Amino acid sequence: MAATDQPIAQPYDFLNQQLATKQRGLWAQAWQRLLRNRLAVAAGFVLLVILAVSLAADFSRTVQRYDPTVPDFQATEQNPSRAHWLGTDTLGRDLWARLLQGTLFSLKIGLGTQVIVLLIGVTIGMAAALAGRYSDTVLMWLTDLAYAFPDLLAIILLRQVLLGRDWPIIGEGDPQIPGFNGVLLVTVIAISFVSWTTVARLVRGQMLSIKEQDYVAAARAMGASPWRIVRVHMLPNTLGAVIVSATFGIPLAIFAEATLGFIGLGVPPPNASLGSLIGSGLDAIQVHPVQLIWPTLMVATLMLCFTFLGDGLRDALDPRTRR
Amino acid sequence: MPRELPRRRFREETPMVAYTVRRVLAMIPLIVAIATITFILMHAVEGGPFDSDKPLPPATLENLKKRYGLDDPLPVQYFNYLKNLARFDFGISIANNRNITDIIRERMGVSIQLGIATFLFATVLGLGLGVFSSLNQNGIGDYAGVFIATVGAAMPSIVLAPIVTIVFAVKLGWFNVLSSDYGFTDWLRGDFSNWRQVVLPTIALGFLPMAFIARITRASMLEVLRQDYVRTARAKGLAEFAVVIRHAARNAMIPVLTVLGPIFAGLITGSLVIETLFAIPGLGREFVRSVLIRDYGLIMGVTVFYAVVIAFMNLVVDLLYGFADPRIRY
Amino acid sequence: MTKSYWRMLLSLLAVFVVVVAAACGDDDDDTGGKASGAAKPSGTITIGATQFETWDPHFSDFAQDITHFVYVWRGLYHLDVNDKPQPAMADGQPQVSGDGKTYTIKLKKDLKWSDGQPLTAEDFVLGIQRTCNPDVAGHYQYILTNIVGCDDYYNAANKTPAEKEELRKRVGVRAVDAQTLEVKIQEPQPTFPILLALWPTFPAPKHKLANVDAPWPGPLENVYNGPFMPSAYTEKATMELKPNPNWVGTPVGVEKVVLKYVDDPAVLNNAYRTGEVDATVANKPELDKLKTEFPKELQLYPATRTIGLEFNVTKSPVDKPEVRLALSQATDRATLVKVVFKDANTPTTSWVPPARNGLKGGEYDSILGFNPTKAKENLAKAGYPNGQGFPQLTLLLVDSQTNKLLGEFLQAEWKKHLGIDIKLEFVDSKTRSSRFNSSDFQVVTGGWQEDYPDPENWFLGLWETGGSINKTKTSVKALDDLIAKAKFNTNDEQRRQLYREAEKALLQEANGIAPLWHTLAAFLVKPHISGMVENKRPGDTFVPGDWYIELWKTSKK
Repeated sequence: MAATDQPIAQPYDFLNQQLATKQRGLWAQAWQRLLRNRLAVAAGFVLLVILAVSLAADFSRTVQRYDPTVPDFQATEQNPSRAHWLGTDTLGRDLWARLLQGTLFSLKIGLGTQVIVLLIGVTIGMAAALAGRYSDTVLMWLTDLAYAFPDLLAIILLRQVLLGRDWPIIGEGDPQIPGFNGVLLVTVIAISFVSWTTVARLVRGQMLSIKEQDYVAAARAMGASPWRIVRVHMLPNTLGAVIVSATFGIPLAIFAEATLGFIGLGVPPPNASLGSLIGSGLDAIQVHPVQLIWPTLMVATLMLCFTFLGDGLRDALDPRTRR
Repeated sequence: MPRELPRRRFREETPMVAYTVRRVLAMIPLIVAIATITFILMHAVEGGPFDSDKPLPPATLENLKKRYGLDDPLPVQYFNYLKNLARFDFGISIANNRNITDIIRERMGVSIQLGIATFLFATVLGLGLGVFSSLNQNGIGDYAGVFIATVGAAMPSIVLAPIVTIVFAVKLGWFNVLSSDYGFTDWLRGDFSNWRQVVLPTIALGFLPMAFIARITRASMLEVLRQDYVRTARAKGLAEFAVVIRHAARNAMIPVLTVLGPIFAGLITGSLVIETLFAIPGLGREFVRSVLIRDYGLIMGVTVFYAVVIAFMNLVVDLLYGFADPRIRY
Repeated sequence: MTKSYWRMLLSLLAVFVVVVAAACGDDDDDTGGKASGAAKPSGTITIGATQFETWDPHFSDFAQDITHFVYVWRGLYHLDVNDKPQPAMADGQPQVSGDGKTYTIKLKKDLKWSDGQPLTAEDFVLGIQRTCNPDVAGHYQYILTNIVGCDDYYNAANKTPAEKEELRKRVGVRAVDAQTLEVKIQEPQPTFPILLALWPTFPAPKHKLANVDAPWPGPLENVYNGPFMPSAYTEKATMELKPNPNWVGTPVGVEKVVLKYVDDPAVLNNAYRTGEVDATVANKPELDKLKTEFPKELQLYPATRTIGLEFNVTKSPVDKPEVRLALSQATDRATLVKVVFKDANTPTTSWVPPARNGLKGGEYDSILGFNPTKAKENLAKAGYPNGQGFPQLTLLLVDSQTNKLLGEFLQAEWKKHLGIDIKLEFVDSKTRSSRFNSSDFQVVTGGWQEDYPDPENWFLGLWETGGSINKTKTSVKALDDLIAKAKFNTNDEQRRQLYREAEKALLQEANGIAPLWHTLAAFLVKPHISGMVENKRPGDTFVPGDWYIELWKTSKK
């Protein structure tokens, strides 16, 4: 098998290498452009710090300072102090530890959702736009199907059906993907299920539009293979819109999870997400507002940072951006 | 050859009509598929409509199941449902014995009004901010625009709604806490007495879509403004306004339209959070509750209804594509 | 180019100007137009309420539905503030036959429905028959099982219409004449007059219903015999009640009662702050603030509701009495109620609330109360010293903010005092009910909300071996005997004493339940309202004095 493959593969390898060098050049330029965007750099930096601190807290009690799950009934609903930097919650748990725990959980939900959304959305959107009328019809019908399903209803139903049963990977018990337990994955899957359609439609729309552009026609006239046209011209040109959508998707997924908590279908303890922290904060909005302020600030910060970073990435990745 | 000519011409002149008909027909299997998936999922969920806090005696359970036809085997229930659906009969709500079509019709009216008002708010401001930002790329105006849009959307509505209520209704007293009479039908008759009830929900619901529209618009405008034809238009010496509106904005609308459709559909189908927190009698409150109380008929009714609305909205967006970008063929 | 930027900015500004102008315009119109609901002139009371599910008193079992029912309908009797049935539609107390099995009730003269049609004994017959009708499938039929033939009719769901009709006629209730009703019961039942004051025995308008299977008309189409009747209704939004012109009881005090349907008590409290509602339930998580904000307007009083740990006594490890006792004794109820509920409940170890068992609270503290040492001993006795080898134990809870705190509290307490790690499972309320109703649980938090004011309501069906709603599978011989003895005992003091002994038999080994707290009812009522707080009952749902809407008054102009 290998022997027959060899000679055919070789010329492509040569081509690929050339392409790779060229691509690397483009990516390097993009990186340079990104670095020039101070706002995006700052946002990215803040995000990295948040991610690093919440990850570190997950591993080290020094950063975490308190066990986020252990109550202290002698120290309930305290305001920020030297002992408790952000105060304590209704059960006397340290809000700093809780906030970091919730942030990490929510980041996992946001990122996990977008990974799945992009995988499904880009694949289906691209295939629909490029693989001919028949598959376009079928794929768009599928997209319409998932899309016409009321979001919250689908999320709730899926969550209810999936949760608390003995599935592999997403089931009960110890997490099989480190750091991603069953509850988290079920939430990610449920939210992804309703989110990918937007990306698919966006990608298809962009690609249909680009397909008619002059440079694509020119490339086609020059005899470029369809795959090359897709890879060199269409995918990178779609990226801007997809990244904008994905950047917004992360906080939207975090929001969606928070809404689930509002209905009474949030992540169960001992997990805590920004959504569940906001939920308990809302109950305390009149009596102990710091419980609401910290997670809300964190959600807002994440939203702002992902937005600015997404903008920067978009400007940087678009090969035609010129100041 | 001569005989073929009129036929070809016909096909070329009416691709949009044919496309529309095809899409509408495709909705039928779509609705059936959605009804089927919902039916399977909702029966897979643990707990039934008669599992109440206070357990019901066995005799009562039996009688209730019989009353609502839930004593039939599931496949029978399923085909009965599809049969009724074909006659546009959604059945009776288990929770309150009312005709589901009546419930949806009543509630939908309110949700649509909330949705349209919010959509107008979000679209006008969102497009404005987006275009404005794009014309000022990386300038102070850009940052200001992005900042306004983002800060507004940075708070989830479950936080935004209570906060605007406490600030603008409880503390300042400008608006009402309860928006039970939300709606604009009285406005048509010149009665604006419920204006204190419509402002807060509209803004609280509209901020997130507004920011989203602004961002997509900005991104898309930036993309388009760099295109050759815009440069050409500018080089031709066209007025900047004409360039922006006629050439850039129109093409920049394509990605925006992709998001406007879902946003519109999402808004008019009601918002659970806003309707709950402002006590608006809309459909959004109903349909999450229908799942939570396992009101099977209502779950199906609302899902199918939403699916039809969203599928139509989807079709409208696709048709608008063609309007915005004539290069797209169906 | 800069110019056109300004144009864009100007167009944006224009939008704002239009919006602002529109808003101001509305303001002007408002002063000329009618005022909004909350600011109506005197004679109107607006209350926060929960949307009812069904408008059918012979069908529903939801607390909010029942509250609506007593606003607009009344039975033969009506419970007074001391929970004693007083004549409402009936003219005096019932005549009971010598064997205690036949009740004859005279109606007041010239009773009329709200539409002016006569209200006769036939209407009461139809009401009871509807509750016993298998096709109506009334949730509260079980409290009428003592009526002759009611169960036979109710269990005939699969019979032919003719057979059902025959069984309907055999239900032991008939109109002797237009003004006299006769009810036959199987066993003498001291609490029976109470049942004649409850919604399952409310009258059904014969002139509106063609037969016992006819659908029950909606709020605006129905007729009423209570103090008020609906004059306007929007589902999920508002209902307006106006006085019923043909009401025969105490004349009503207000022109109009408006019910605002709101799901979230936090929203209602904000509406109370702005004066959009005059009375409402208090949002318990805010209680600390409400105590200082509305010290005079906040009403807190005991409700007849008990919540505790319910054990499935057939599931390991809670099949062992020592484990159940250990869990109960390792729970510091005072701290629990303080931390989790902000003192909006009363810690307890009793099952039956003090108002019903005649005991002061704390009767069973020595058995079930917080005592870490005893708890450890009990756990050791059960074979798990210091929690070693303790099997998997799952506490099932409904997912809500408060329950999360409650679950985490219990988890931490038991870890601290017993050294055991329990699992918390949070599910939505239907899943919880489904698991509970199929006895598929180890421990849940739950309890009982009283249906009618008598200790028997706290036992019958719940705790007897094989009782129709005994889902904890509790089976204690002594308890069964006591309940059987008490059930139809016509000596009221003996009966109450027997139920007190039954309670002791129940709690001795935490059979099925370890009570944690009695709920407090919490309401906010504006000072301009009178007649509400003075007439509160433990079962109030929307506002104090739910059962006496005719006594509400307002001094607001």
